[in-house]
Amino acid sequence: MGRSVGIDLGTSYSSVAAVVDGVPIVIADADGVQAHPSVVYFPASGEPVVGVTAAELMSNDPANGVASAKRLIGQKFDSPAVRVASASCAYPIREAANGFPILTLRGRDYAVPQISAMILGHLKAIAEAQLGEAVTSAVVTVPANFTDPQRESTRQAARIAGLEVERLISEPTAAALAFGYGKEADEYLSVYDFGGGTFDVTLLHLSGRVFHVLATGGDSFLGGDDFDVVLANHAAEQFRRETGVDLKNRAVEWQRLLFVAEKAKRALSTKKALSVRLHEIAHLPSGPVDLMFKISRDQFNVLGMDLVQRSFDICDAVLFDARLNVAALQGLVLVGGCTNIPLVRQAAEHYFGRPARTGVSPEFAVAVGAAIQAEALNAPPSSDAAALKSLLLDVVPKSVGIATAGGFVESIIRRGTPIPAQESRVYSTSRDGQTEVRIQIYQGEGRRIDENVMLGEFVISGLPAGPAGWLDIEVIFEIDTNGTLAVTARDLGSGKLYGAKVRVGAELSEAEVAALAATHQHWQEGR
Amino acid sequence: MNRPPRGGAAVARGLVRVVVLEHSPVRRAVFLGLLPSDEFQLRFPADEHSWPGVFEGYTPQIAMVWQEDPARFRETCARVRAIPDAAELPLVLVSRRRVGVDRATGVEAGADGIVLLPAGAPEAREEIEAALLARGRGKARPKLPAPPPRAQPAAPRSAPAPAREAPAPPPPAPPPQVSSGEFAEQVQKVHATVDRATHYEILGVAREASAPEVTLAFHGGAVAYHPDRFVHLDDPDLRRMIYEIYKRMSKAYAVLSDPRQRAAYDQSLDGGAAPREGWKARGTASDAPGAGAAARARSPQGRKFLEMAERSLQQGKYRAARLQLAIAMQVEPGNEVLQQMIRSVDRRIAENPDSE
Repeated sequence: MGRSVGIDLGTSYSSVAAVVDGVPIVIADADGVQAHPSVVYFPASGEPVVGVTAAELMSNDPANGVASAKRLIGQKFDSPAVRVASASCAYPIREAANGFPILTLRGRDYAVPQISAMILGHLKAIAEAQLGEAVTSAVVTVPANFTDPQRESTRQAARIAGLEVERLISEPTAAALAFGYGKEADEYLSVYDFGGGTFDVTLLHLSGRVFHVLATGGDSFLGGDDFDVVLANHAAEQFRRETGVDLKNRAVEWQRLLFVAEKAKRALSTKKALSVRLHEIAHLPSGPVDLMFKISRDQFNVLGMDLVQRSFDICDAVLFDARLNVAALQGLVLVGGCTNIPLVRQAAEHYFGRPARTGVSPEFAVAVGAAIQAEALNAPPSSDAAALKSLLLDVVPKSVGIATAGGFVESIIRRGTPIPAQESRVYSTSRDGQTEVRIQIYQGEGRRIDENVMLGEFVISGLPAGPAGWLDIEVIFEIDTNGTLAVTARDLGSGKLYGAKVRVGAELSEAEVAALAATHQHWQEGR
Repeated sequence: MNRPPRGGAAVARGLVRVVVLEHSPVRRAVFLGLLPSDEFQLRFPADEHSWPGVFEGYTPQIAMVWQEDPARFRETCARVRAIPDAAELPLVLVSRRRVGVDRATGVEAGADGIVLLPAGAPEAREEIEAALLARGRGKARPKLPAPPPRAQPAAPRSAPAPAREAPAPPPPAPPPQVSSGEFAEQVQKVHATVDRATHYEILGVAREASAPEVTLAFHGGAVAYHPDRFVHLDDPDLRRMIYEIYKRMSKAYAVLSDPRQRAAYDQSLDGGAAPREGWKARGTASDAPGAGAAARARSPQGRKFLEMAERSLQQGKYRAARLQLAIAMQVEPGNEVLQQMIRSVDRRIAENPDSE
């Protein structure tokens, strides 16, 4: 078995880290790059390209590259995330038979995990080249608010890339591990993680080497990309007033505009004001026109204010869940590219009433934390490392419940419950001669079915027939330390067990994953 | 706290002056609970760097220090001994009751006594007395002036940490051998109690334990039993037992850390009933079509009494239903459906003893 690493598979950027001789390091590629754009570009001939080169190629040819695949992973074709993406993507997205999206690039079809697998494979190759040994497993981070299908698809992506996922941990928790590594503290810590595509906030209690997650929450539709969009909207609106051309209706031009908006946003973190020019963005009867616009940091702050306020609404809810107030917290950790934006940083420090911790780079804290957890899970027992390793006590990230009459969801295991968690419910048959009970399992915080994500259906069949109410069936829901949900049922009368793992309606079948893994290996070797 | 001082010689003479090398507020609260203020006078450092400073203007009789990890007992004791004022002082460790940790472990690491949590004031007193005696209580020390008032809990901040630059402590002792038979035995013993222990018992806390105490106990349990610490264990049965123990601790913490759930749980404990962890609900899901009484009882007599029993059940007359089913059973002795119904009705009778 090879080495284990930590991977931050981000919406915009991804990183890989490892603990080498007790020191966590972020692994750079041969060019010294540590933050690799999560972009895959498909050239006219030859193999797909990943990372910095792909991002450059894609900026001029958005129809043949995929960025922000993380927004689509594990999402059904009819989900809001995919609807938003297909409106702005320059490549076609269609629905596969299993309800998940299929992307078509250069005439070939790809499931989203395949795209993520290329990014993971790229990181794996970098780690192997720099560490000089095979990398076969990883701790991969996901946003705290990822649903089970999103997590399962991420696992599949890793398996395609030839990586066994030892644990999926949430990004803010990973960041806390990075900041608390090797220290003996007793304090409450908040991690405010404003990344490229998602916002998460997590509260932890650090006690000795125990990292105890108290509550976590987030919004998967709030991230740095949204700042790009408000900026691009602002520019497009100005352009429409000047020329009558609406760039938002033109996929390729809109992508070009988003690309410069992202650069402008970054620049505004260090500059007070700047101007942007896009050459020949539109062709009018009078000839080609350029888009030119000026923006100051103050203007940008006004545009982004609503986005920042949304993050604090989530912080309020998470503090409430943890039964804490800001005064009880002793530390603030800022993670994610967006916390480089002065507006975000200042607002967060103001909200939490204290300056943010420094010491670990906010961009790489998540990857470093994943590497620390990988080390903790792999340290041989009885070694010094085992005695000193950090211990992560995690919670259920999203409530799990079952469908009840009238289209509602009854919560069984609430979010924030420490894992492993187990709950049981006793059901009686409701009709004479009933031999089967179906239980539909949902995940999410909404009261109604359609506000939640369906995880699967658990069918207890082969029950002995009898009058209504004569059978008592205990249904046991369990989420283990890996965050995996299992459901079993027991007939309380006879003690007979009816068991089955709930299979999440997976994006790819086991056979497909195996086949793709073989192809992927071939691709890696050809690179 | 107006009870008279109890215990032996050491405490009968009045307040025992203790220096507690612990700056975490939560742990300090535990010390304050362990060492009643009518018997002990406690003094704490303000932070990690002012351990030596706490001795300024204070001549304690004993030092205490918290260390949960037995692998680091030696290192912690060495750190205390590196403070000149504490070099000869009796030293008592505070740790958590767990596998492979006992008095000998503490003494071997350089302490004079060890208090294993969860513990009460009597245990703490006993260990402190033993430690005082072991060191020939204060023999090298002059008689002390009246101790400074307690209103001065923290020592003035002093220059940072000479203790930190003290000679490197010896390497930590190896953690308990997870594969050893003793460990497996302990796990089996704990595992056997998992089903009947209350949430308080599984975490080893008292009914009146405060929220921080519950949290501390849960953390201690996690350090000892979290499955992540045993991924390399070869024995799958042992791993499963460890997982189940920890799962039970996790549940106990989930309930006891939530004031509302804890109140409800306390009520159920006071009621003497084993707390039910579920509720009854009708299966709402789409039901497969089934057969009526005809398919379940073969004989006309059996059918008749089965139907009567069902009517009784609908009216909540469980005892009547039980009788009717028993008659049906006499007609069809081998009928599994009837057997199961009787079991189900018996449970209902047990739950509703007053039914007809």
